[in-house]
Amino acid sequence: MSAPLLQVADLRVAFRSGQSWSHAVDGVSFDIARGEILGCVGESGSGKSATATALLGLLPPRAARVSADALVFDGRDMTRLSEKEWLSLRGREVAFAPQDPMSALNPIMRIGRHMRLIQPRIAPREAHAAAASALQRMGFADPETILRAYPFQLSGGQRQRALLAMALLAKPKLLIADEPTTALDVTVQAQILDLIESTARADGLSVLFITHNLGVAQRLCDRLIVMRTGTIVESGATSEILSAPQHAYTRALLAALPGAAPPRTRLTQRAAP
Amino acid sequence: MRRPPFVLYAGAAIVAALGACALLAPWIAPYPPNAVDSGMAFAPPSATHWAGADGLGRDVFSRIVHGARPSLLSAVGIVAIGLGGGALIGALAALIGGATEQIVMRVTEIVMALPGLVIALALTAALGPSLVNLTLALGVLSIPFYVRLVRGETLTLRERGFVKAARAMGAGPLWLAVRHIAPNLAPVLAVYGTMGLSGAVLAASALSFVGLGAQPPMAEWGALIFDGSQTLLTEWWVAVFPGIAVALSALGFNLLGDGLRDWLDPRGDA
Repeated sequence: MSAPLLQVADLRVAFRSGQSWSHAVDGVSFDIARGEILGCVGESGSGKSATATALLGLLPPRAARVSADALVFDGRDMTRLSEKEWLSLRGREVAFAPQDPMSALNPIMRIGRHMRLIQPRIAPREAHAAAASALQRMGFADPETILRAYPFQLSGGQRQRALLAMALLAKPKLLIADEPTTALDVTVQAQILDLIESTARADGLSVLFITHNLGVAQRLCDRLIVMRTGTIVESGATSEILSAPQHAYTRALLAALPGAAPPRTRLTQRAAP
Repeated sequence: MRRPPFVLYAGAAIVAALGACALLAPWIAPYPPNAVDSGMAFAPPSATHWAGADGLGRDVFSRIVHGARPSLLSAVGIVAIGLGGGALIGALAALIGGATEQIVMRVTEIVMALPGLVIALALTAALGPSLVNLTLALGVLSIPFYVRLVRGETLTLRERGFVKAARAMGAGPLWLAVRHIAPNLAPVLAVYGTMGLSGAVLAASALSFVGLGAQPPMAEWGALIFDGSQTLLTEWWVAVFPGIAVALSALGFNLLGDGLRDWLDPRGDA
């Protein structure tokens, strides 16, 4: 097995709050192999998004401090990248799928124009063809119509698929997906998850899938890391973690799943015959 | 697209009428602006001289129609300088941030603390009284207003989901500025620029009134009001009708700006 695509060792992210620093990510280590889908689960404020933002080099330099023993992407030390190098990495090798498809598209720009972002130096005709085929891969039967459409003409699921098509247009090596299905209906969620999974399996795309939804994580991810208050409390193969959670917090997360064993409260007791 | 509100039509009609005067003055005005007819000196409004005649027997209505061109042109010039410079400086300040932004905003505040019209008066007097210098002075002094507006809007836009998403998806500063920031600033600038025109018309005629803008015998609204101010109590029409022209244009630009805002602001939908 070759070296992992992404190696993270002892990643720390601190945000300035007044005079002191608050540690949003406090010594996190994980690897992502090529073609692997790693789930990162945890509640709000557990440091999931701060980790993702650090991996995209988007933390505000004045308000945040990032340090790591190792932050190696495809053989490159991410802690030493210049802003220019980040720009050539972002969107091209490390892609991003945003959380809220409703607000992630410029309301006054057609989808086709959005998709030119990733390929500015390509001739318009080729760019158009590439965008159309990327949309087709994301399940759009009529990509020409979508390319001409404004965001408000698309449904939430269509927008998220368009965003995924944008993200995957440049054939990135790593996709960072920050709760990409949270804002969507359950049926549309399943469709998006299938698209991510099939692309990862077909193209050897690695995915860091951030979610607070264990059901989604179980369906998609090869391995899981469970985060809480900036640290990883448990990690391992998805099936192992979900069948035999070692950490109390993981068990609490599992118990919070709808459809899991209902907690014994007065409500459920009274509902029993 | 929503149906434009009534004030938009009202404002557009007034502005269009004034614009037509400016463009087609020689064809609209019944007399040449500087045609002296001593027999008609201080003739009151009548069928031949709709707004009367001034002390030299010049037709006041014709002078107002011809005055639309310098008055509106200087107003447009003032807003073009202020809005153009202000938008550029404000957007850059917001996007660059740090010390640059701090310095720009402090300078802006200092300039805004100065009484604009008085400084413009001094500046125009120093540059030499002329309509061009008046336009330059008022234009430059209106820059800070647009700097503040555009900086604030840019800071808000930068936090919008689609700008953040675009950054995360690999957009560089140029793409963000050209594709996301500028197009979304446009409606705000259209509204405030239009409203700025009304202030500019007033300020330009004020400076012309005190003799710092249009020089005689040029027909310009502020200068026309000054011409008539000596005889306001007896031959009122010489000053009052140009005054109405100034007020009407200010009203027209305000209505148009208000209408644009109601029409373009997506929050108005609720």
